Amino acid sequence: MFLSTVREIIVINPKCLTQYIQNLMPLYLAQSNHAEEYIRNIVAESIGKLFITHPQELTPFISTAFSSNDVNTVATYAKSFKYSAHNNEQPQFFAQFIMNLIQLIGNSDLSVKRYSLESLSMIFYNIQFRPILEDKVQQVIEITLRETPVKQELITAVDLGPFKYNVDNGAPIRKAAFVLLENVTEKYINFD
Amino acid sequence: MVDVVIKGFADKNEDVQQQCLRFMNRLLIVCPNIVIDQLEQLVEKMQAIY
Repeated sequence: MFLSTVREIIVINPKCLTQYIQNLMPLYLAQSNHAEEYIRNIVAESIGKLFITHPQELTPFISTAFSSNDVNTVATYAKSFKYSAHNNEQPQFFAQFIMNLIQLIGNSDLSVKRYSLESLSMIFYNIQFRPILEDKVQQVIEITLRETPVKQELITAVDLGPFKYNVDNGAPIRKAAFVLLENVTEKYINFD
Repeated sequence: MVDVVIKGFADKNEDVQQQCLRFMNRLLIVCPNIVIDQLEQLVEKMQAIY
């Protein structure tokens, strides 16, 4: 409830939280590896939206989170960029995290992989970020293309008694990879 | 990249298939010649699925 309330404040008037950022961020860091996914989603959205208005204050906390050994923490912070990339006009604060996100595509955890692809999609969609992304386009395409084929090891069979059902855990990653490739193609590749 | 998108049509997941269709529409606008070069492969894949 508390996290939801703070999120609503962030959505309505993030500037009024300026003096509380130093207290809020350790709380978010602690909750970013919560067992419940909806709590982690609230944390990701809150951090992402706070990063739009308070990028300087949040940068050290995000750097700490990216170096965490906990995959849920890394996934939550990777996802947060999805919420801060849209309509953001301050690409300079993203620059240091772009390489983190590109490297996270190669992470063995499926959530980390998926959220970093989704965040990069939003970042590449925002044309304001062109100056910091142009030299990374080739690298992103090469890494993302590796995520497009079907991976048999990610398909698990669920036994439902009279019949078996295959769950493809790699499908959301393939979809996110194609979305990212589409955005990169649309905004950065000149076919003329 | 066009080749990868064509392969994506054969994906068994509908979300991925639809995303590939959207992507192919975009590619047809930005680089029609590259797509047309691989038209045979594209038609073959589409026939297998639909």
